[in-house]
Amino acid sequence: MNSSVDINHLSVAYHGEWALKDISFQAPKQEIIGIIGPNGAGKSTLMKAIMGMVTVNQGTIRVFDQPINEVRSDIAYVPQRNMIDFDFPILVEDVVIMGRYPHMKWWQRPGKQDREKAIESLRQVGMESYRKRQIGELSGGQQQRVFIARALAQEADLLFLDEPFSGIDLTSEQIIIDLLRQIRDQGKTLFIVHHDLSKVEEYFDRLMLLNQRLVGFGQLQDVFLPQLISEAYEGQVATIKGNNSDDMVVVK
Amino acid sequence: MENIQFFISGVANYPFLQNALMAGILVGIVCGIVGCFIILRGMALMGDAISHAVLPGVVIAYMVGISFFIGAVITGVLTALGIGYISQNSKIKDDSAIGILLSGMFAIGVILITAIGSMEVDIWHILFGNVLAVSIGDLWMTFGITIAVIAFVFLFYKQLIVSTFDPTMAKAIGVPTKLIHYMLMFVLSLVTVASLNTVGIILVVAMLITPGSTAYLLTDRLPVMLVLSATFGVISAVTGVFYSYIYDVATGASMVIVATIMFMFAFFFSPKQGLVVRWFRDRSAQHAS
Repeated sequence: MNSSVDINHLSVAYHGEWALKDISFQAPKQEIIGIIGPNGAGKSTLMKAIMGMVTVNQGTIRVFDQPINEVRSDIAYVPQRNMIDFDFPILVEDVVIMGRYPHMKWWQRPGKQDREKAIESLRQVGMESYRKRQIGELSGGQQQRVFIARALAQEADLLFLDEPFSGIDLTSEQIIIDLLRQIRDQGKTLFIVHHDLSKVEEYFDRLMLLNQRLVGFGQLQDVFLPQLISEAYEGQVATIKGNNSDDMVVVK
Repeated sequence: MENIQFFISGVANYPFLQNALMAGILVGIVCGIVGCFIILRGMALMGDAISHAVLPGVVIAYMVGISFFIGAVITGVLTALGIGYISQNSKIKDDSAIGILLSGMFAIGVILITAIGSMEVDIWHILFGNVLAVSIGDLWMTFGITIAVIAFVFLFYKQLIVSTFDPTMAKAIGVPTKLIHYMLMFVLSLVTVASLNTVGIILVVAMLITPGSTAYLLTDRLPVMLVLSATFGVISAVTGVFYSYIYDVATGASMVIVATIMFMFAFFFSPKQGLVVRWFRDRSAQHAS
């Protein structure tokens, strides 16, 4: 009842091959949840399934206790930076205004309120003074903050971030994680697809280990364990700090 | 100066020249607008494919005795569907699928034209345009297509932007991205038909891509890019018709050359991205350091 995302026996196949097999979990609200796993583990597929973008072969997905189609405008997406053409002729504030689109009728144009909401969201991520810049003029971290502002402008309660820290310097990474914590503290739930194991303990309240099937899901101390990680990564690389001292474990 | 007076009196006296000029202006506008989206979606080759694929449709329409329109739209959209089908259902990449269907459809068109052997359908005119033959009826059709395309872009502006800029978000918020894609293919077929007399099938892609690319180099805002692109399209058209009248050369090709020259100017001298400007900036930066 009090869950953000509730998935039951979800399976998804692409071209006759399983991308996700029999996934079940209940995610609580108001947490930062990390989705980790090796390449091809189905992290993006899972995210797209919850956003209602892929055909589900089996199982059910409910978001805030409703079918996805009822809550689309309540789900925001922050794209991976390399999926975006930063030469696109668009200003920062117009990117953020896109977050208002789900609240408009198909023929409506953004109005004054939408514009104000966009500026307010930019202020919240500290990017207000850049609003008249073309999106490609910003640094990677700034671009990421603009897309987070777009999710804020959408007033969504569930956010999906696809590799938000890839290709970003450490200072920006810190700014962004602080921002994400603020957003969580406002009552929102954030799912973050993350590809490496560093900083996992620092960033996430809850962790999902994925490799086509759900290897683990829960509190960090129950999931971020060498045997589960090596199971998820099937003996591929990774180093993690052990509990005591610097003993590292695992795989590659 | 004399040439300009000669041209103006020509326009005043000859209906065919008036029609040619009007058709050119409309084609400049409509290609300029559609071209912006084609460029930003990285579909230049697709534009080329659809315009070529229109050929068999036009010829069949002529044989059956129906409007060019219908034939062109049917083969244009079928080709777009075929390209999507091939690249999704095999390891053939998009550009190869485009190449295969573009030339295949075009070949069918050429075979049909040569098979009917009619003197009425001149393949040269379909391929390169015959601006002297623009009838009032053609003009109205081109006008109708232009209005329809502008209405389409205006009504679906939000959907076009978000599905072009961030397709994943577009899908997530329920924008029918596939439908938008095929609507654009449909529009491309219409635009090709509208441009048939003026520039012809072969060169229409230039009127789609070149003015838009020039505009792209000069601005950071899509609304400005759309207006600039249409403006450059119109300038190319009017100047092209002018030179073709004065020097008695092919109209479509003249238009394309004007568009290309404008592009070269923007490429070298645009304030933000121009090569020359960049070179000077780099040099002064070196001096400063």
